[in-house]
Amino acid sequence: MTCIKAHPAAVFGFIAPFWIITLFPFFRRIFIKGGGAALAAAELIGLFIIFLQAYLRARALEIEITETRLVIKKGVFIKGETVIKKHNVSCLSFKTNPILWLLSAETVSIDTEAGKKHKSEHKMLIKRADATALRSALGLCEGIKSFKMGAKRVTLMAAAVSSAAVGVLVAVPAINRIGRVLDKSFAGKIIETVRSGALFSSAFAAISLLFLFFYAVSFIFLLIRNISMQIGLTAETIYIGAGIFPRRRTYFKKESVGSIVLEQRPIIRLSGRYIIKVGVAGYGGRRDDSVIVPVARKSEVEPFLRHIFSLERPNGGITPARHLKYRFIRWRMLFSAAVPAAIYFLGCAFPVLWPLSAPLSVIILISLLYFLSLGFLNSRTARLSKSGDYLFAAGVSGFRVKEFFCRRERVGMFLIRRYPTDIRKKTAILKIETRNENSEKMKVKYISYLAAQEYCKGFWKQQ
Amino acid sequence: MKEYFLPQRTLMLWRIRLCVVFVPSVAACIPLGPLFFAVAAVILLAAFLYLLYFYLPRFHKSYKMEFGEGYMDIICGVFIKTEKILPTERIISVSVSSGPLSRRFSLAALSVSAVHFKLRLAPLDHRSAEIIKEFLGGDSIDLH
Repeated sequence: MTCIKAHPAAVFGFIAPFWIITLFPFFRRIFIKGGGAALAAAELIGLFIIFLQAYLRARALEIEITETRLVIKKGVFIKGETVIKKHNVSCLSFKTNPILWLLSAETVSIDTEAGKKHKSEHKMLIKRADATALRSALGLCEGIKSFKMGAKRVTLMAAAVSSAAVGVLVAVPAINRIGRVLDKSFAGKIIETVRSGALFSSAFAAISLLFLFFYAVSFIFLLIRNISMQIGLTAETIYIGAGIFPRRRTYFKKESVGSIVLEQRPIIRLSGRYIIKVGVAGYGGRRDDSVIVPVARKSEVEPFLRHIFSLERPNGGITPARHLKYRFIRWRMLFSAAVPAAIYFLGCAFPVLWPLSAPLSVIILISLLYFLSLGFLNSRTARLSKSGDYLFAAGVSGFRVKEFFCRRERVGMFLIRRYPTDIRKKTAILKIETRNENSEKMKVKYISYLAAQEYCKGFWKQQ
Repeated sequence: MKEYFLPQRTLMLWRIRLCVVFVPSVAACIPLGPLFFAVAAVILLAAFLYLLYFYLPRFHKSYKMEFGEGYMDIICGVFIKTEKILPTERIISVSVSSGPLSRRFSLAALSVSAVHFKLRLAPLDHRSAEIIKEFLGGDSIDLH
């Protein structure tokens, strides 16, 4: 049996929630003169209690590793023990930053499927040597072959998935235009006292700059988080290393993977590439963190899938009927027509805004045409099939083109929904829900109801 | 494959529950004044009659539970039909509950819990609920 204690620096983790209280005496000395010995004594007692509880709680933290299970002990007055069978550990991740590196410490997160979404179940600061012992005890670091993902791939992914990427590219010209129009219309009349005739231009240019700044921040943040990305493989385990400082190292078993998603966002799709993501409990604190291959060319996707998951893209399957393909685009068409029309009428009703609404509608129309083209694409690519032990589904969700794989035992529930048109046309919308909350859900639209029902019921029979 | 439909008593139970909700709702409109009360009472009455004579009977008729080889299928819905298919072996716990009113009608509602979701099924007769509970709870009972 191996016993791992918390690193002494874990004390600071328990002081952190009370840090503002620890600063009170210093503020008091600065702003309030005097106060008496009694107050100083009370402050000292308060600080002593905070440090004592932190010390005791850090000392009580412990991980016991036996042959079959992990026992996590914590608590001073109310003692708690969590027992996790080794095979139930879905993900183990280690994080270090410059300060922790100097202290020879690492933060370990242990997660199981029972954990909450985007929240570590058990987190603890341990010594670096103990981190190695923990990995060895769980048999996660033997014979890992690592492959490095190039900086170019990571940069492209960061550029494509940064949250402001598409929005800012569209918004910047529009925002600048708004500034000029408002200048012409209102600036002279309303703000006569303001000497600057380019008030709105300056304001909107500042907003554009702010947007660009946020995009740059988001991009740099993602780049730093994922630079120097590595993927390591053994027969049973996948290892992902990403970032320099902080450096994240995550280990999970292949069988813990809830879903595998090949995703194309607008910029990635224009370059004909894919992002490969996985859904594992505990891996990926944020929406775009669960990436295992940042960017892969079309020709690389199949080898990656084969090599990592022994998986092939299937051919055939249940697809929407040809004569129903208009259903994929009817709402998108309506939306594409309604938005520019609304902008046009707005321009007619308020002629002062006309110079603004014309370029704005062109920008929106281009976005909507792309949105519409994705509807056409969905009608061609929506598919439900099987690939060995995996369920396969393909389709478009919003602006994202997705291919979804899910191991049979990880599928939680099938939800078949039929609207009045579906009942009339004998079609259905199938939603696949996985057992793991971190995994993506997938919808396949307008496939034959009977075929979908047969597929879902037969899915469990073959197990 | 075994199919379960809801007994007629379930519809009666739902109707009584609806009446229990409807009467205080109308009474709560009285302090609004005679005009508001009249308008609110007419709207509520229309909704009540619609639910009582149109929606509930159709929903009751559409509700179906199917137990097949390794799966459980729950179908329901009037305008939008929903079908939930889940594997029986992933079900972690099953519980049967019944309130004073459902006990009067010899009905019991089943709750099925699996990893990350919980389903509450419509009230069934006691015997069927017990059989399903034993079946899903792991005892090898032949549903047929």
